[in-house]
Order: sequence, then structure tokens, then C-alpha cells
Amino acid sequence: MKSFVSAVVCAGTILNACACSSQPTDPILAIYAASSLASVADALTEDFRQLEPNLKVEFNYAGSQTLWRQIEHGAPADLFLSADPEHLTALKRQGLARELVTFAQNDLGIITPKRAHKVIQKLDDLVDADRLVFGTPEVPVGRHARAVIASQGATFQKMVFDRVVSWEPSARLALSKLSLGEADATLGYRSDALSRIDLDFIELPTEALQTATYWSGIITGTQIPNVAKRFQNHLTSSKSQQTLRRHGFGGKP
Amino acid sequence: MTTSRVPSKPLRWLLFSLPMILLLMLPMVALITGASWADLQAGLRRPTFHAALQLSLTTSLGSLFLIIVLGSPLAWWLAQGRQKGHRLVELLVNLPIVLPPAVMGLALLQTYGRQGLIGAFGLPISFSSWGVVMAQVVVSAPFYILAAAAAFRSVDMDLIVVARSLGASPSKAFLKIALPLSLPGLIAGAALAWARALGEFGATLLFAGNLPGRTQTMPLAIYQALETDLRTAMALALVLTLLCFGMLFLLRWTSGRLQS
Repeated sequence: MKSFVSAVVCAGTILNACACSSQPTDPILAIYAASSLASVADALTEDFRQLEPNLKVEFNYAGSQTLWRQIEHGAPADLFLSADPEHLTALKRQGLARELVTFAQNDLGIITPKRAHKVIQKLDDLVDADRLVFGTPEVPVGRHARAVIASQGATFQKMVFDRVVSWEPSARLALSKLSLGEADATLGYRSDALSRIDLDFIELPTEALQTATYWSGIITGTQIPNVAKRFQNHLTSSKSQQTLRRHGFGGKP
Repeated sequence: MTTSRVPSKPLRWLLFSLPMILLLMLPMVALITGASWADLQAGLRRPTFHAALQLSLTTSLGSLFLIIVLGSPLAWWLAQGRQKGHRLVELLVNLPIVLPPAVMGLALLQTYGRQGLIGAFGLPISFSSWGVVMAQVVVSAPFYILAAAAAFRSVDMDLIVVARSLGASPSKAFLKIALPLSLPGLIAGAALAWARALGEFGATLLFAGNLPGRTQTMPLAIYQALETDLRTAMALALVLTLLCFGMLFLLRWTSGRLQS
């Protein structure tokens, strides 16, 4: 028993030592990012590392609502990139996030597999689909999709929702089901459609269009607020804005 | 049947067991203490709750039925021989335990989905309640099959040989001798498989999807509630835990009665 305790203490000391010695030299920036940012994150980081070559950046991707929960429960994030303002605002109210800045947009549209079972070309075609998958109302993409459908009237909404075979907990899982040929269409982000060669993106008419806005916020508990701030500023730089556009995002509003 | 064993220094062994007991039980304690009575009631009132509970019960019991009917012959065959073929099949039967359930769900889609190996020829069962059952069966059947094979192996084969030499047909020898002797082991395996089916999440989400009333089982309903209302989710989880505990307790009790 005694030796076990000392082993734990020993391990703890070693871990501590590592953490202390590494922090000042090369800090690790932990970014919690909405999963729809995964397609562009590497490019954004690459740009940033040209400015700060010693910096290590680690991404934790999940739905914004999951990340919000994790941060609420004390996850060691430095910067939070959310696919909507609500989750960051909630964290700010709780004193867990500060300096909220919007840096990108993402248009919703109809996404279909290139090898289509049913040809879907416009919003009205959705009622003819055999199978639709939508995001759950809890994920931002699902909430925006609901708004798109609702804008076309209650009857249309009912007809479309009758075609839904699954409410997916993440935008990307919905797309995977399209790629597998298991569903005919979903409403999703332009950037997501662009990142997969087997999917097509169809623009929505302006009166039905929904656009997600991405927000960044610095997590109050961060040990490296200056680094987090610099990355936050980097997101709105002209170079990053170009990178975002190249990946199908809209620039900051 | 139970042989009383004389443990050496039982208190010391309990002491050594304590870390594991705590490791397993502390999260349960947190789950129970974390949810208040009001939360529980709010959770029970959630519109999707009843549909999810009903679906979970019917699909998991249906899965258990299929697992027993289709798994028992395989377990019996596995228990009969020790050739390479038997060992290879036993190894393959183990695979679903090791693979992440989500991967099993993907594999199911590629088999029975609309463009799958078999599904492409019609009758796609993905995204239906049958899909839920299918996902549960492939993920939890190994637990029953392995336990049942072990139980069958423990049956003294001489007894069967004697029964056969006295004129009993193979099926009669199985039903009258092998089955009663291995029943406690079979029940334990069935309980484990049923519990695993009830808790199935990953394969179900991938293969059957998440549609309230049709494919949204309790674990999926809990996961979705986690994203809006933590307390409701915890209440739902508590109900699932109690349900599972009650069922396993009942099975243990029956099995104990059978043994004595």
C-alpha cells in the first residue's frame, strides 16, 4: 500500500514537472471548436503558426452544445469557437467566457449525394424524398434547418418532417448518412458540403435562407489569455477571412 | 450445488476489492444523488420518454428472444468440439465485443442499408424498429453465446451418452439433461445480453437513426436530452439504471432458485 501511494505521488511530481517546464517555452492552445469548423481549422492554424512557430494548437471538435457543456463543467479550454452566439453568451453570463467576437458565417442549403436515389433540386422537392435526415433541434444546424422549413408554412413542414427518418446529433453524422446513400437529402452548411466530394450543395431562395454566425470567446480560466487573444484576432485578419471564404464560409458579418 | 469455500482472511480481500467497488459504484451514487425527485418527475413527463421506454423494452426483449433462439444452437455446437474450426468461430463471435459499436453500426449499414450488400436487393431495414433490433442483436449476442457455450461445456457429457444409450433421442437428451444443468449459466448470459441490448447506443444511432417513437431508444433519448436539459437526462438515466437493476436482480433471484 505504502509503495503504491509513493508511486502515485512520484508520478504526480513527474507530471507536474513536465507541465511546469513546458508551459513557458511552448504553450499549447486548446481550442474547442464547433465540428463544422474542422474542414478549415488546419488551414487557419497553419497561417497562425507562420506568425508563432513555437505554438502548439490542439482542437477538440464537437457540436457547439456539447462543447458548451464540457466548458461549463470545467474543461480546460482556452478559446471556444461556437457555431452560434447563444452558447457563448450563456457562458459569458456564467462568467466563464469573455470578449465575444464574430468571425465567420455559413449559409444553409440543401445537401444531396451525387449518386442520388431521388433527384432533389429545390426546396419543394424535399416532400418527394424517400428519406431525409435532419439535425436535432438541439444542434445549431438542426435549429437553422427547422427555421428554413418553417418559413414555408405548417403544411409543408409536416410533409417534410414526415419524410425524416433520423434526427442526427451532429451535422457531420447527417452528411455521412448521405455519403453512404442511406438518405436523399439534408439541410446543412455550405462549408460541410464543399469539404466532401461526393455531395452537392443547392442554394436556398433568399426568403428561406438561414445563415449561421460563428463566434469566438476567450475562456476565463485560461492560463494563456494573450495567446488566446492573438488567435482570436487572427481569425478576423484578412488572411484568415480569405481562408474561410475558400472553404465555403462567409466572412465576418 | 454451491460449494462453500473457505476464504483466507476475508476482510483483507474486501479491503483489496474496495478500489474496484468504489470505481464502479461512485458514478452510480453521483447519478442517484444528482437527480432530485422533481427532476425525476420532470423527466418522466417528457413527451418522448414513454415512447422511448416502450421502444427500448420491446426491442430489447425481441432482441433477447432472437439471441436465445439463434444463439443457443451455435453455443451448443461451440461447446461440442475443440477443433480449429470451433476455435476460429468462437474468436469471430467475440469480435463485436471488441469493435466500437458505431463501427458495427456502419458495418450494418453497409450490409443491410439501401446500398448495402444485401439491402440493395430490397427490404432495407435501416432506419426502422427492425434496424434497432438488428443492431442490438449483433452487439449483444456474443455475451449470451459465450456464456451459454461455457455453461454447456460444464455439462458432463457422460450423462448425455448414458441417456442416449438408454434410448433418449438427441433432442430429448438435450432438453432433459443438458438444458436443466446449464440453465443458471444460460440465464446469466441472457441477462448480460439483455442489459447490453438495453444500453445499446452507437450501432443503433448509426444503423437505425434517431426518430422518436420508431428508433429512438432510451439511450438515444438520454443523449438528446443531454444537449438541452441535463437534469432530465439524468432522471431518464436513473430510470434506465433502476429498470436494469430490477431486471438483473429478478434474473439472479430466479437463477438462484433454480440452482437450489
